[in-house]
Amino acid sequence: MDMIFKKKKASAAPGYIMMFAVVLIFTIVVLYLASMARLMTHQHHIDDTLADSVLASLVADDTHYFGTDEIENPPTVRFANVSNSFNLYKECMDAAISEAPGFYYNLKYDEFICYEVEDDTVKITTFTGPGGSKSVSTGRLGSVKSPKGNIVRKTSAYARVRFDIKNVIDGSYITKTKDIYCTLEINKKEELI
Amino acid sequence: MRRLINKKKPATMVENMIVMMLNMVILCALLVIVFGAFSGISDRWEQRQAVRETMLLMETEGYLKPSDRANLITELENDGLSNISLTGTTMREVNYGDRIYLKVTGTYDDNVLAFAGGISKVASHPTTITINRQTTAKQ
Repeated sequence: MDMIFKKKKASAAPGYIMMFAVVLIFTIVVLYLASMARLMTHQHHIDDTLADSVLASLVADDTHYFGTDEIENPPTVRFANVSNSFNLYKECMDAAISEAPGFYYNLKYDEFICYEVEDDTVKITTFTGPGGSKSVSTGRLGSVKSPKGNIVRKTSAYARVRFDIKNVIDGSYITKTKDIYCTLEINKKEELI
Repeated sequence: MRRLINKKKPATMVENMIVMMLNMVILCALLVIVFGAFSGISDRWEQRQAVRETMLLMETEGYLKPSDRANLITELENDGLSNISLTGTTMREVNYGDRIYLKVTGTYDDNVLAFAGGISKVASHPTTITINRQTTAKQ
């Protein structure tokens, strides 16, 4: 009689253990993959959003450009309105971020810098903080670097945002920053044709 | 005694098989959910990319051209979006530096059993997707 019980106990136990072990491991792997996929989606989304928003803000003073085209070579590219560019950048970011609820928390516009190159001078207009407090300075062409490390040789813009993402394990916030540097180009009509 | 022992032996095999089958069923269910969830993430990502590409085209054209509009709708439909509306999108050419908008709304069936044909109706979960983008014309 003892033998019967002994056999029964030993036979199915490894099967149960295997089942629960495999399901547990699989669940952990799936959760890990899901959090990785979510993080990668965050990464791509914020990269694209930042690039698109800075590109949207790069609006040149086309009247001045085509005016200087006749007397200078290369012509001078400058922003149509730097304050307007900052507002455009923020509005484009806000529109793109609002379509991804639960992705970013406490998004802050750290810095937005417009570099305007004219002859050997670089005019630097910096907007800091969410209110965009403005400061203007100048530098010599070749000696001005963006916070990303690019040497400023063309009229361009730099932007940096700061945001929190939620930790999937304990729900705590992790602060991340993203930045980008883009140059402003104008395509001449003949180049387009 | 001997009869009893002989009787129990096939029962344990059946028990093992039931456990293994249960194991397989749980794993298959998890796999289905995982593939369904990842396919949803992939579809949404591709929808966003299609909108982004169209936005860049709009930037150089100054508006959404009818041919780009048709391409965008086809791409979004291929990515699982239906009842697509582009209301609020800039359809007429604007001047250099003016703001242009691309607003897409549609229905996406967030269904983990999408590949399972008829059975998929059980898990049907239509969701309204809204993608709003804006930029400036650079033509």
